[in-house]
Amino acid sequence: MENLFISVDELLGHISTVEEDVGSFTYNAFMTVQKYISDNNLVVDDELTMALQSQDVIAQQLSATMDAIKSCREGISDFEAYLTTDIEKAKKDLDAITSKFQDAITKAKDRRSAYLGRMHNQDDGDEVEFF
Amino acid sequence: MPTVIFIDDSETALASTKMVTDSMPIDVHQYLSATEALDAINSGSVIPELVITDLNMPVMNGFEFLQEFRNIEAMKRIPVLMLTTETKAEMKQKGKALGLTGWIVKPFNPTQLKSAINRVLRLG
Repeated sequence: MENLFISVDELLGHISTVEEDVGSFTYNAFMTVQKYISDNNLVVDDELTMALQSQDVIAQQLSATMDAIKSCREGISDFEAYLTTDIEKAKKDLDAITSKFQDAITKAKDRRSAYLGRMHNQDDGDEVEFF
Repeated sequence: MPTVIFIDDSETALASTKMVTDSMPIDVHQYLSATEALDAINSGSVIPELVITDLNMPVMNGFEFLQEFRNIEAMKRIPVLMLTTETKAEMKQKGKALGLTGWIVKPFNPTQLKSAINRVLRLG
């Protein structure tokens, strides 16, 4: 059981590291393109400006999943501590860790939806709404 | 030139809006947090005629900013647009109830963003 959780924890840690890298790479790529545009006084059309905004959405999506992973890893860490010190408490903690995982997944899914914007339907005409 | 404040915790989002507004006859001030923008407004160093803010930000989100902003006597009637990835109707309703002027969903179309700014500022 302990090894299983250690493996899951390592996998989650690895995914989080890769996500951090992806966020950093896309940020650097955006800034390079933006600097090139600015330095050369290039006129950017609507299509390119919209494509460049993908970086912001990517960063927000990664942030949401990294928060979920952090929450799951905290649950695993608590459980591992109980496994070595109090096996009875560890058994009881299984329900708590399951609940924590489910909460983290629900939050991450909600945030995926909230942070997606018009990425899948950019041709829809409901972008600007006045009250 | 009218002063327009942009608030977003994402540098790339601010850079995207800058690419669009550079060609407009407006004085743009950008802030990476709502608290930073409020400090500038409260100190009188910036007097906006329009604020465009993100919703999902750490420390103070767009709704919290709007509430604080509307508490400033001189800012009660200044238009505020939310520029966000959020699309839920209940969130838009909440913004409307708090005195929001309009809602723009990211990724924004530059022509439509310019048109929204021109409409609010009546720039013709």
